[in-house]
Amino acid sequence: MRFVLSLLLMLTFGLQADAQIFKRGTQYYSCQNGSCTKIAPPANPLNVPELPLGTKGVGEDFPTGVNPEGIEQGHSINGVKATKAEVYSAVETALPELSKKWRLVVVGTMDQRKEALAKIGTKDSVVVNVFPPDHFYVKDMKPDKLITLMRPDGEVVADGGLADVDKVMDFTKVGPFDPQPKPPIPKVPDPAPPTPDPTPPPAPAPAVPWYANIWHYIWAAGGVLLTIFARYGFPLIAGFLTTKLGPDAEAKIQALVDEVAALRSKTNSYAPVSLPDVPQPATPVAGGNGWK
Amino acid sequence: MLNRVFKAFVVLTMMAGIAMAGSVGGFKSPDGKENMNCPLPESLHQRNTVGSDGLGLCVYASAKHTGQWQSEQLFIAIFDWMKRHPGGSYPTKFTATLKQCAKEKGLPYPDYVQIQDDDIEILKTACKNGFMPGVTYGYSPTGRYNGKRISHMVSVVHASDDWFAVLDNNYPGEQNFEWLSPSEFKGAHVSPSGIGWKVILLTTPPPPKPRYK
Repeated sequence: MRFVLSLLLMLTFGLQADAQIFKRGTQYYSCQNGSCTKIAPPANPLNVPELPLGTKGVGEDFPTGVNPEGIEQGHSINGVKATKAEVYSAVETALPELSKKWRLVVVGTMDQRKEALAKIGTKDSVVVNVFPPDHFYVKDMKPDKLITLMRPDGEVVADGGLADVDKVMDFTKVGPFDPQPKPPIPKVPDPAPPTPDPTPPPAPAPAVPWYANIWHYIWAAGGVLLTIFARYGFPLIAGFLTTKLGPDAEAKIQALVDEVAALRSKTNSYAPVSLPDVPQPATPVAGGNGWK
Repeated sequence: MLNRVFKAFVVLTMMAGIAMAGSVGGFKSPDGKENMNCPLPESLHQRNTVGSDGLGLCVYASAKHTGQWQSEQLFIAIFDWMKRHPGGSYPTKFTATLKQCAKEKGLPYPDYVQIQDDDIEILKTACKNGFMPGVTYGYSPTGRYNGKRISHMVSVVHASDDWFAVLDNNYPGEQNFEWLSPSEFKGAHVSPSGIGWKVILLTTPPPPKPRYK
């Protein structure tokens, strides 16, 4: 009889790996590994009354499970009774916040997520969702992106890996629908140091000491010769010319100078010219200045 | 006699109206204008089952849908936990079972609200922001359950001024969503007492589907 009952219960509820308690009519059974035994009604661990269902559904494939007798008009927050205003306020003031905040999605293994969250920190303007790589939401995202920043409507603004956290979070310095500040003018990078030429430049010519320059000596010699010439050359030339012109050279030169002076004065002088006399009117013309 | 005929006529007319209302479909509204607010993939749809006493666990199957969507571990875990406990639920029992499960499994107790009234506007606000409420369902406007009255809870996966979409844990599947007008939904939600029970989990929902420029 017990075997038949066990078989019947097994067929009804299936083979159970763990001990399960079933109720059939008013009798309770504990079933495990295909063996069921009658047990006393278990104490209600929840200390709540078991109320009848409104309906038991339609057939065993469509069970339902609401006890209408336990549903009274009212409101509660986390199981604690509250007024309608309090409950609606909790919902209506909390929910619209999401439409004003950045949405940051972190996808990765447990360690990756922890590392990313530690680096991201907390920010009031950012709502963070953390998903494992096999979460259903991830299938619509780019693979191998640890963090993805979105506007509230889902528009992706930036994404990247752990190294990009700071760059991505820079976007959240303003609201999700505010214009992004213009990026600072990028600093012009210092010119890269010239690449050393594999062929060394030709060595500079060795500096020539002043005394090795031949032109210094030439100019110096010229100066000396000019000084000597001025001191001794002119008298020598003058003596030479005197010798050639004879003992009365000075008188001859003076005669030549006088002749030249006479010629010049003759050339620049004119004979006096006598102009004819012009008759002058006896009386001035009356009526003005003479012009009519 | 005349009174009985009149009543029968009214009932038949109502049942015909109910049977013809709404439609069953996928992630888009029947007019193609709206995408579902909470498109939970089929792999995460939870078929309903019974608790230790043979009574249904629809409240906890709906809670599992919500937990899967909003990544809340206690709401996910409680469905399997409830298989070892008597089925059926109502607001105070739901709170008691959540607390007990959280205690036994060492899971944090999340923020959530329960609302028992005839309002459906709060559901629009919740769904628009990506939350997936569980709600009571007194009958199926598309004619499921042979058009009979049921004491059931389902998940609201979409709610707007024009459309409500329902994921019924007895009819899982990506092409099995019931798309209803707001008035059709409200009628089913508050039936038969005029009061509908809503459970809204307040943990952060996933962001909208990412759009790459």
